[in-house]
This record gives sequence, C-alpha cells and structure tokens, in this order.
Amino acid sequence: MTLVLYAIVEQDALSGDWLGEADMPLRAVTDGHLTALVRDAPSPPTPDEPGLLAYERTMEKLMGVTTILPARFGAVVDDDAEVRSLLSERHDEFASALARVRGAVELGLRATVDVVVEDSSDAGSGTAYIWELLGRSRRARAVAAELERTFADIVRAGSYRVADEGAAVAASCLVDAEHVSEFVRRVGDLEQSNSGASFVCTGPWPPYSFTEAA
Amino acid sequence: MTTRVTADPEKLERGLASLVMTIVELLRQLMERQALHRIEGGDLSDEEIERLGRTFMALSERMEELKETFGLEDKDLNLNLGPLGDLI
Repeated sequence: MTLVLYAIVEQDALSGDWLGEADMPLRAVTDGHLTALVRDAPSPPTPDEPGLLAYERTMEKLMGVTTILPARFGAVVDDDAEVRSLLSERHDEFASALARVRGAVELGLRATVDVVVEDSSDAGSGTAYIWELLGRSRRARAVAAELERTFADIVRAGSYRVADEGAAVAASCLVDAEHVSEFVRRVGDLEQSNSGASFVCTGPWPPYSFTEAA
Repeated sequence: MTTRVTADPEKLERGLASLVMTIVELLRQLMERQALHRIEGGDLSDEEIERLGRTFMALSERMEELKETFGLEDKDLNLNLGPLGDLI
C-alpha cells in the first residue's frame, strides 16, 4: 500500500463531504492548518495516458473547489505519519506558496517564432550559417521580451523561456482568475499584430510551475 | 530465483546511441550558444566566424545523418530532469 499525493491545501478550505465521493476518492491528512489530499493505492501510478488524464481531471476539480498546491504526478509517500511530518517540516514554505498562488491560475503560452529566410549572397558559407543562428536567437529573445512587456501588468509571476534553439518561446504565467480573459484577449491582439510568431495558449492549469519560491 | 534481463541487442544499441547522442547534442547546442554570445560581444574576427560556422554546419549535418542511421528523432535526444525540466 502506498499513498499518492495530489495536493496541499489549507485545512479550513475543506468543507462538505465531496472528498470521499466516487469521482474524488481522496482523503485528507492534516497537520496544523495544512492538509494534504492523498489517495490510497496498491502501487505508485503508472505514467500512461489514462493515468495522466485521470490525475489531470482530479486536479481540475480540486482547483475548482479551493486554492491548491498541486503535487507532481507520481509523488508518493509511505504513510500518514510521513505526510504529517512533511507538512510540519515544510510548513512555512507551503504556507507562503499557497498565499502566492491564491486566486490565481497558471496559463501556458507557446510562441512559435516565424522562420525568416535570410537573403544572402554567401548562402552555404559558415558565416551565413552563423548569421542565421544569430537571427533566430535574436528574434526569439525579442518575442520573449515582447511577451513579458505585454503581460507585465496582469501576471503575478511569469517565466518566458527561449526553447527549441530559438524556434519557440515557452511562457508560464501565474494569472489572477479575473485577468484570464484579458490575457487571452492580449494573445489575440499579438496574433493580429504581426509580432513574428504564432501562439498557442493553454490552461487554466493548477499552478504547477509556481509551487516553489522563485 | 534468478531473473535474467532479456536484452535485445538492437534495442540496446539504439538505447546507447540515443544516450551518447543526447550528450553530443547538448554539447553542440551549448557550444553554439557560447559562440553566438562571443560573436555578439564582437570578439571574433570574420575569419574565425566563418570557420566556426563551417564547423557547426558540418556538425549539425553529421547529427542529422546519425539520427537517421539510428532511427532517432529530436524528441529522443532529450532527458527529462524532473523538477529541473528538460535537459535541452
């Protein structure tokens, strides 16, 4: 028997008896004013498609109920005692993380940077190859900077990372629930504004990327 | 009771190849990034830039060939480092 850890919440956030219902087979382990939501399982969850989808559905339901610190998929602990000592040892860290994400959701944004074919007379030369790399890297950094500027006043926290050797920018943003539609509207504006990239926005997610202090 | 690992030689070779190439790809990208950084800083001559470019171009072509030989795709040349994210 093992305990699969789903999320950490504030103890007083849990009212009602929805926890033990068939579609939410979790139970609460509490220490002080922090509660861990766990599921009893014969073995750790397998990282396959049905397993991941079930985990994600549970997370989405939980985030609809209260502020959660989501555990990474597959996080397991031995028993209730271990959960309680985890909660008490890292109490301050969890409490401040919960305060940081309260009322906010995570939005993912992936910008695929447009390919620009450089017109050069020395195509095929080493120098042309380097200029192409440099051009791609500069365009990606410019897109990352533009995203950061665009969302600065409506995100609580954000990371904007150049990925795939300059072919894309991956952003994760912690956004107040009431700013989500404004965020999506600004993504639409960017798309219209010939910003040199195309965008895919995902979420809202539980704050997976913001559970630890930056 | 002894359990034997059934090792399919072809799978083993492919697994080893993807591991070695992951490291080579990581180094290639790091060197490229470092080179771009130095070029942007303006401390390389035109001749050095041309030579670096040729080297990286050849390396990138060679990686493509090797990937084809071993039937690997870009996504095979990455390692998930858990909380640290992906290697590349």
